[in-house]
Amino acid sequence: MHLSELAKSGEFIITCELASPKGVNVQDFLDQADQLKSYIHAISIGDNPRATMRAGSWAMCHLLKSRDIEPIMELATRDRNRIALQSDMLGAAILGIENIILSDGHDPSVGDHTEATRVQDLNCISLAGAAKTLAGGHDMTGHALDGTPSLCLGITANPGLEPLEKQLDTIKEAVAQGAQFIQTQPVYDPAVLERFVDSIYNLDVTIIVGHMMLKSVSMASFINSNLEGVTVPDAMMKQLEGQPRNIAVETSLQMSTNLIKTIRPLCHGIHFIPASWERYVPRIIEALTDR
Amino acid sequence: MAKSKETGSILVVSNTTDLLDMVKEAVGNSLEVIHASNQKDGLEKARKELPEVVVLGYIEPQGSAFELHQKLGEGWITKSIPLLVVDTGPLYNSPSVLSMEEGLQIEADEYITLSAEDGRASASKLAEPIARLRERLSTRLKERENIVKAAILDPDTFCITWEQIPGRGAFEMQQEDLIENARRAARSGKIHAVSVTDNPGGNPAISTEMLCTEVKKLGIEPLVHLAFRDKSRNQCESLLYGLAGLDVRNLLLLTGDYPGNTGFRGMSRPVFDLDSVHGLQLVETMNQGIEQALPSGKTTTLAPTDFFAGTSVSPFKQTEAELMGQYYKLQKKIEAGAKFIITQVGYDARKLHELLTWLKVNGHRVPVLGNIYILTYGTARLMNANGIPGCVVTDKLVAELDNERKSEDKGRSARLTRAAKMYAMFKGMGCAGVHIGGHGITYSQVEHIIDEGEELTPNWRDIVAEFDYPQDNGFYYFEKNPADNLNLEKPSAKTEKPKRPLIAIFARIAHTLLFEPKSPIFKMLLPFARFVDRSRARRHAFLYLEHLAKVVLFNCQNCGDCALFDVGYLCPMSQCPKNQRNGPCGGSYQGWCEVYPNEKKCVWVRAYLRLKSYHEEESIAENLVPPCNWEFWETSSWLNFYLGRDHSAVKMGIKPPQDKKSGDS
Repeated sequence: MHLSELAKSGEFIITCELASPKGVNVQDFLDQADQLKSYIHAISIGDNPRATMRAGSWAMCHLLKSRDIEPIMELATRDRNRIALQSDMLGAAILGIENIILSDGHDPSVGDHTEATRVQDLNCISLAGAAKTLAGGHDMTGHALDGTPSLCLGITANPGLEPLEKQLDTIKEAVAQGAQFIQTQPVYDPAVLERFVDSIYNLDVTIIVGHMMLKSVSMASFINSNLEGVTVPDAMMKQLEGQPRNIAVETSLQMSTNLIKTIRPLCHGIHFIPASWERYVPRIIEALTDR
Repeated sequence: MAKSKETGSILVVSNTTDLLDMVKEAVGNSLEVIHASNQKDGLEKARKELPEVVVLGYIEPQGSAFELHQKLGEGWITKSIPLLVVDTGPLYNSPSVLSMEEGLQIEADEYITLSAEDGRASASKLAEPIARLRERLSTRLKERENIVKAAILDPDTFCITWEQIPGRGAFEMQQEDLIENARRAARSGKIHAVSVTDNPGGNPAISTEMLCTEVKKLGIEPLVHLAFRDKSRNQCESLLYGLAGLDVRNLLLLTGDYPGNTGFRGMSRPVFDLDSVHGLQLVETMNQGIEQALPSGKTTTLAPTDFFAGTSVSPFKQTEAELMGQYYKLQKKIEAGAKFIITQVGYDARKLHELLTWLKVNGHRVPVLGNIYILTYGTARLMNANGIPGCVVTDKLVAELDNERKSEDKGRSARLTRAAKMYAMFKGMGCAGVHIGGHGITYSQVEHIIDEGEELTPNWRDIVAEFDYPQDNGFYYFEKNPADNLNLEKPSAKTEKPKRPLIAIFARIAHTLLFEPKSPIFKMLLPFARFVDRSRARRHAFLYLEHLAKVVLFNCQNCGDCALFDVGYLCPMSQCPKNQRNGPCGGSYQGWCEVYPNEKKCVWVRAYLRLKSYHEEESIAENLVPPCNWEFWETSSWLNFYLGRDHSAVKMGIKPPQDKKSGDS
């Protein structure tokens, strides 16, 4: 099912990122997926997320699909040239993976293969163009396809990253190429999100806002220093400071719940990036539905 | 942390010295700066040096900094050391300490990035978080402080512990009630510890250790009863490490009642591998750090634990021999490291005062928690009939309770008032606290006892006369002080008639001839023992003969680590169901063994009377006997003695023979 259709039905979309295994043991992954299944609409699988090498996202999406969980597959331009990118999109479509997020991907320097070559044959706009071409029955060089894929394309955005105008241009171009939803980086300040949403109000696009729980004050500091455009406000840092771990969890979950409740009217959905806190995602979702 | 050095230390883990130099500049002389350059080194130094702060920078290979951060967070000791992760990647244009993915999973105390703009000011940027984290360490250590220990040791705090009795079963109401009681006690703050008994009455019940870790989570200190009835020495040590790791530190070490007859398909095997003296020695050694031999031949010292262990004693014994055994053993328990004493159940004020006087006269400054057991008529009758080992309730007290139960509230308020009076009396006499127990007692009743007890305390002397419950011909250690119905500091005459049965005389003569190194026969037997020991067949024949003789004379159980010398030539393996080697347990009844009342005298009562006939009874207090060494099971104790292997040989200075012909066996 296309995410954009779900959004049009008026449902508040909840998705969650799961990390594919680093290795071939999928049991933990499947357990996590099963635990989340009844709480979320779709699970997204990063494409070697944060430039860390992991099992191929299409394989994991396929496993999800076979368990009746709607997958979202990320496709990053960092690791593949245009031939591989098109080929993987067709491959995904054959497996019934229809929601694809196009991204440029983090630079290899932040990951676990710092010497890796950044391919970047296409950028995410030209990749969106390629996807649109495929959906029209041809490849990028005009060769006819035997059967056309049905895809729902998404792009990533970072509402806090300045200058916003440059991003807005990218978003507009991508939407023009057929992108139907936007999945954002985490936003901890509702005012930042509001400004972003206001600036694209005239686009027909589904906005799914990223959310990463703040596990500790050191993680929040890490985010502030390393995640460009993402800022944890001082007030939130203060709440976490000096708390013993078990209490920090409760504080963190409460902060997440409050934040999501605040930003909910501004967007069409929430995308959880659990960063190893998968087990707490259901608790937040339950807290959200309890009014 | 347990550092004797005046200056604390800070550990810097980084692959280059850049970060080290910055930290040195940041802390100046206030901390000793230690450096480790990889994960293994970092972990070892963090465990060994117990620094006030760990600063973690980039180390090779990539990813090992994150792993080290996780390991420090998991370690029982290292997790309380504040951790600062520093990324100097942007500053030196070098690899970052954590990858993006690792950084999003970080659970350190603080994280900072030093950028090129920080440049020369980097050291000062480190100074502030380091100072903050050092403060955090002191609050963490304060949280680790043991409030029970503080309450017991502080003369201005009256320590109150509340005893809970776990039941059989995992999901029964009794277990729920126990947790609910602990929750209430935690909320009120009037009680310092909730104590949980260990398989009470020798019957199977849910594990006190596990309940106590639950109790701890509720925010109140647990007091774990550890009975040696059911656990071998290894199991005790193992459990103690588990408790130490979970920060459960208060222990009450007890022999334990003999197993009840409720075991699964019959009575449980009694273990009694250690006695309470040995248990206290074990805990004390663990608190110092156990020395462990490594395969390489070197030794390593395990990280010391932080237990606060007490024991119990029963001053309420009837006969001289019984009571003296209690005090002799208490002497050894104190020397073995008992930090506090909780008394057995008893209601005679003069007896409780006797214990306090004994401690004072002997110069022991060990705090005592007086036992307040809230007594119902039913329980009183049971205790009166020796139904609960070691608990003393006299006929007079039973009669009083019989009267009280005729009142409208069935004696409820009288029970609580009696408890409050005991509280006042114990506090007045100089106990460090009270240990409150009783079946089905609610928290509000306990609080009532505390409040009423506090009110009564100023007039405690008026109450003493009400708690006059002597036993028939009961022996008191000290002479009575007629002025206050308590004790003078003058020991009373010990008139119990000593006994010297024929076998004791025979054993003593045999001992002098055969086992005294000064005896000429001893000197002749030494080469013979070596001769026998060299052949398996001779060893077996010899063991057979020895066993035969000793079964006839002493009902020998073939433990191979003979303790006849230690117990007046009585065998603790056969004559004591609990195999006590250092003095009596608390279960004896009017001189009888707990397990065979009115049938068999307590082995330590017999030993006392035998030794008394030679004026050697005091030796019970002085002779510290180690636990039976099971390595010697079913070997000849005589050979073990002559060849310097068993505990008696060690005590008497008999050395193993210098092995000239090692190939001869």
